[in-house]
Amino acid sequence: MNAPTRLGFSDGGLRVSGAPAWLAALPGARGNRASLTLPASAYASVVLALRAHGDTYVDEARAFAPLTLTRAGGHPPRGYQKEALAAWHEAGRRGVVVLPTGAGKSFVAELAIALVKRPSLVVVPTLELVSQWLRGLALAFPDVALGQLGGGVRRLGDLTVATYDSAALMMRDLGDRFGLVIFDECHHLPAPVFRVAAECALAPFRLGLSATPGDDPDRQAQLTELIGELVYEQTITELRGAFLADYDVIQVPVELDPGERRRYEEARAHYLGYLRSAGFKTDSADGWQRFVREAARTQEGRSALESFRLQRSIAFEASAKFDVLLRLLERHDNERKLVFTQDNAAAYRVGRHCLLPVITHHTAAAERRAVLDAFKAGALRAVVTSKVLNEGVDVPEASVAIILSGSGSVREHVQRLGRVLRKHEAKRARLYEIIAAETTEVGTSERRRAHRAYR
Amino acid sequence: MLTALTDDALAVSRRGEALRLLPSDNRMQGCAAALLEVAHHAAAAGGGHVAQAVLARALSELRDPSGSSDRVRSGLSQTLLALCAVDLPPPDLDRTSLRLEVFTRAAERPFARLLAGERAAILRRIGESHGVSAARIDAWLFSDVPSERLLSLPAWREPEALVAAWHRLTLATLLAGSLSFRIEVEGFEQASSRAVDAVAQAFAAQGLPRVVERAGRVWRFCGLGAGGVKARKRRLAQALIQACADLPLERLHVSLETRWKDGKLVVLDSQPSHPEAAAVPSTLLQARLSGKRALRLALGGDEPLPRAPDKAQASAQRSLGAARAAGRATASRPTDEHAGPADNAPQLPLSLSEFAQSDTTQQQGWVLSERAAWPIDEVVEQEGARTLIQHVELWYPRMFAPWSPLRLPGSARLAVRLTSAASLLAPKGSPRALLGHIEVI
Repeated sequence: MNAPTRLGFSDGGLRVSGAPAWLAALPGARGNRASLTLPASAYASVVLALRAHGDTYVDEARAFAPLTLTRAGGHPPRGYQKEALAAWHEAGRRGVVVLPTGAGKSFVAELAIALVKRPSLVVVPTLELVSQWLRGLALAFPDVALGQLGGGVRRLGDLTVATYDSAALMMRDLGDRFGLVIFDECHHLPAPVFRVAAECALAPFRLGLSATPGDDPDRQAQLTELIGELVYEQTITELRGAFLADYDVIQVPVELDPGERRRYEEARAHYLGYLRSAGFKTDSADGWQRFVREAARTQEGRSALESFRLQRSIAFEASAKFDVLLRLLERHDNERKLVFTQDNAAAYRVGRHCLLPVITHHTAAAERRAVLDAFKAGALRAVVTSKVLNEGVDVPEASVAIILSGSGSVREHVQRLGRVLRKHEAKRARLYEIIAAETTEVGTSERRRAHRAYR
Repeated sequence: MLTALTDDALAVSRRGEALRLLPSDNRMQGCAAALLEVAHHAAAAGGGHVAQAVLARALSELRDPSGSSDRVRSGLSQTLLALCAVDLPPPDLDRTSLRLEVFTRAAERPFARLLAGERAAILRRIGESHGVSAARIDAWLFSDVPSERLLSLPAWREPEALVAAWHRLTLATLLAGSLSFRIEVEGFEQASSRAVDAVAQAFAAQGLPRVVERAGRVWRFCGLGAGGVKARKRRLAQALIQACADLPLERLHVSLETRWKDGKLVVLDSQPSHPEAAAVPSTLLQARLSGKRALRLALGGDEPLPRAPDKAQASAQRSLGAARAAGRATASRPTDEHAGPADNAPQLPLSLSEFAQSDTTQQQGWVLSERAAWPIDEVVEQEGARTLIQHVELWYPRMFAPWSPLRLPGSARLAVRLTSAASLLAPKGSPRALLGHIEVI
């Protein structure tokens, strides 16, 4: 009689000894039937296939067991949240749920945790979100031990929250501990350094959450491979008014002053002149990357690249923008406002001049917490930030977003709008976008507004 | 002004100083350290503009002791000026609390009034409550934000430019008391991600700094690797170029990294499993331990730790200090540390006021503790940091030899003060305060 197939976990991989022939033939399998290695993420499919074939096996891979946990009371799920959970459940408890910011994605995750009842890992992009998730989980599951990976903490709990960085670094050792992995803002997962977090995890149950999964088919395919299919989606336009705050998007064009205009045109002419002379076309991502790569190799190229950056910064930092910003801050004095910039330097300039708190990646966690708490309580009525508040941070009281400058990323722009969409009393949200007229920023704005939320 | 600067410098000393270790063979860095201290204390006393003025004067008399090119010298000057253009709040003033105080006070007023002049009034009132001017509060608001990027080059693929920039970086990194630095790239997300792995692999292959943390497009390194300073910089530059040569990165930023945790400087340890094991604590004893660890890092990781203090000697020195009689010190010092003070021997340690009044203290190196001044040799014994002090002794005469006495506005008086030799204490939340180990007054 043959020895049963044995499954083990080691160094982020699924080890199989005594594997049946069909298993050794699976794509990605390395070694021979006596000692086979597959990605840990193949665990669920291997177990299901073994069961389907009627093969006996000994599972020494997983180091987790069912939990006894009950979600604390609170408001019942909304209709679309129930639909999302049901769709995920029907897809084998694997897949991606897309909901706009403020629609309660983390609530869906809590429902999933309560349904699966397994030790779970929530993976998030920032430390701020780690704290936010831990607070939410503590309220939803008050009797469960919580853990944290990241921010100098390495503590496992029945429910653990980790940054993508920490998860990628530690999953080779800890990938056998979780039955469910939830990837918050899962559009980050396909990045080469982060996908390890999914590949090295045994977790048979996986939930991806995002407001902005993106249209790139390659990245969508990777999300399918690492988490599962897109199982449910609701958009901002479908939920605005009823479940999200209704909103206005207002573009405010400003003119460069004569000095700015002259410097802008000079820098732009220099940059474009180089592009023409060197034969570069930058109307595609490939073209731009080729320009950047090649430009760095010559003095002329580097100078052109610097001119490109100069003309962009002149547009981003037009003095008239600042005047408009001051008027908007005055107009919405009694509302909670978020001011977004493209870079930290601009954020600190605004903060200093207007005596407003600034949150960037330099801001320590304790100070961020203090500022956001004061903001929620109303002791502070505005916060200036560059990018760190783009994603996930829950500030329901904010009703006005002012984009002083930003990239052409649709995702960034939608996320920034999302910061003010969380339903709060009868608020009507406003997103102001201040743009330097007759500059490349106009095109940048058009690119980032290529989303149904802005139509 | 110099008296005021001195007073402020002493005040900073009382609050604890940072360990400053520089390669003994690099006089440029030694020079920079000394000048930086001048500006540091000038900033503490009179603000950034005073620091700049003092520094500009000192730099004008600076001769290039290493014979390096003007380019490096120019880089040094710029670096120093950039680093010194920072006003320094007193360490008992928590910057986070100050910011919250300012912003919440401002939020109590209608924004329109803020623009109409209320801003200055708010800063003035807060300044009055802290005993400083509104301008100082204004300057302190975000001065702890590491905004300067020491190496920010579109031309970073030029080895010479990169090496020159590395010179500035390593200088500033060493000056900051932390041997970690941060590299940040701008460009497409995927290219940036690939750069993280490529640079980490290239550095690892050459025994260069170890990645201790990465977060998206930012990754941090610890240490400078083995070998001479120049060789290390060149290898770093080449590895960086090699790793990123084919990646479409728009820009590369390299900046020194001083990590703070719970108000304390975190010295990165060289043990992979404990990247942040040596958080600098607030007690002197523990600080000494951390200082030793930092020393080992500063010396390249291969040097033995400083020998533990000889308890009998330390006890004798304390007895010596306790038996000090009042009176003005003379130039000599005891040669037999167990003999006790002779009638005409210096009464050590000197009080700080004695030290300040003495005409002879400029003739040798002195160490200032919180309340007293000791000759360097005494501190060797008392602090038990022989290796540390030997290292500094080797270094500091070279540091000053080419242009000693360093002439400062209003006075030619010079004293080298090495504060609590192994102390890494630094005021809460102020990386700039790390600049307080060697002082020239």
